[in-house]
Amino acid sequence: MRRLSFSIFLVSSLAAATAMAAGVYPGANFFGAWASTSIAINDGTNPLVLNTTQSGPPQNGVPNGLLAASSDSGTIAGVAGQVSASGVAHAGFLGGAATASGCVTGLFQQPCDTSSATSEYLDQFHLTGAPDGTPIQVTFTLTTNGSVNGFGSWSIGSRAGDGFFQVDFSSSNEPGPVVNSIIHDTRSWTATYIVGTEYALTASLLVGTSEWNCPGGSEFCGVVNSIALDLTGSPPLSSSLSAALVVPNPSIRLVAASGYNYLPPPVVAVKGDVNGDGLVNCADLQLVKVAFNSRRGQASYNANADVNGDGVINIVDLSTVARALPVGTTCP
Amino acid sequence: MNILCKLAFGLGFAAFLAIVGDANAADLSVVAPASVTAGSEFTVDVNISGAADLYGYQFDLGFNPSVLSTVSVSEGSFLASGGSTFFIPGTLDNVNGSVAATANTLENPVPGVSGSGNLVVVTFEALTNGVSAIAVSAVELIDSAFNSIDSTAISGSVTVASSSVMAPEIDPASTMSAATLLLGALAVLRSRRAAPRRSA
Repeated sequence: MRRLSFSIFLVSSLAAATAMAAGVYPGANFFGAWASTSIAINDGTNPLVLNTTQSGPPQNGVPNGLLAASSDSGTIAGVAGQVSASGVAHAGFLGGAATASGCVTGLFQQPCDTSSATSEYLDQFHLTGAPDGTPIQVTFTLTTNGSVNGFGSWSIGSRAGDGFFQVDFSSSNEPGPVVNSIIHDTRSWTATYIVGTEYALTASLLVGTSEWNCPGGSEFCGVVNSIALDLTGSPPLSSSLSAALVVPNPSIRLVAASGYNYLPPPVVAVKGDVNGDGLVNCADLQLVKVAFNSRRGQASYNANADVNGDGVINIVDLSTVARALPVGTTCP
Repeated sequence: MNILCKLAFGLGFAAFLAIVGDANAADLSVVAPASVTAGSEFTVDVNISGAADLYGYQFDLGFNPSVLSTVSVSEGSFLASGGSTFFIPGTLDNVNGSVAATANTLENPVPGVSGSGNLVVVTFEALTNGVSAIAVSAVELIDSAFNSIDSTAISGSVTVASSSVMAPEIDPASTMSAATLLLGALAVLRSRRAAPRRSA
């Protein structure tokens, strides 16, 4: 049994991750100022680093698509493809390619379904030389410079029926649920990430590679859906979301891996749309009610409910939302 | 005379300006019973007059928590006369004696409501003998364009007394009867005084 250690972590600094890389390839294909990528191929000089980063002000409507795809031959095949979902930004790893039409087809030939977020969120990696019983550690860390409504989705494993491994989750500051489970499994949560706090989620894996059905036989294929942030509402301008894959063992080869990220689709600002779903309804009015009479800096203050942005949630905000309700709408 | 005329004209013009300048202001008044019995529940109205295109309002109430305790806050009929509303009763604090951020707004793109009427009905419990002011403050009125409407807050007060020392309530009918009797007695007295004295 050999030991394999993966550390996949989200870092806020691209430079830091780049410094770890033995060979760094510039982002093959990224779009917009919000995204950048570097990818280091496992050329035998470790560690191997695959990094994707999103930082800076979100540029709504600018699709990033697939950032890069790599192989141990050193080629990077970035494919422009828009992967869009409403209001969600991702960073992570993806094995395979994205078509120009916006669907993702990975190592496992995931069905292309642009209407389904699950097929679009895939972050995959494919390694060789990872035998049975290989312990793997996957760590996500996340730092935001603003308080956002976070939606986290985590799953790791292969296609259903291809195998399993034990995962022991632990966390640091992570507001999402942390439980032990047997993969194939998914963890998801909704939480608010607090300004300046670093969050980490660690999973220790024990690979059963013989049960995997990866191309090439006895290999390890992993699917990691990384942390996703719901940046709708009021995305903090300085927030960053990045991911890095480090493979320290030179005998383990990265066959294919790629990362992608994308920006939320254009969000048309609707006056009174407190929850950012593009609609003004009773849910928005309730959010204002919950935060009513609060001021910026108070725990109950909700910046989204402060419709006029004056730092206090009062009758002006309440009436603004109420007036924007579609005709005939009555809220209890 | 000329000076007096100018002074009168000036005062009149000033009064006119005051009236014109206050044309868009609304009065928010607390209407409370003068006295109530300890242990009883009673209601206090918060009324508005002179409203023009009122779309939403918000205010605080303050009272003496050693004398009164709030039971509930309910919506009055005035704003609802303009359409569906979204009412927030506010936060009742019977320790510090306040009802914070009572608010109400019309819904949908409808015109505001003008005129006078009842905004809120507050039910209090009279705890012990004493006097409590019921003050309205932090008043915010907005029109359908979300512009602020000037307002004047008029507070009220209530006296809580035990039933044995309560001043008897005066029935208007009884008052009229008593007045009638009094006037009648006076008339008789006058007629007697007016009658010429007869010498023996």
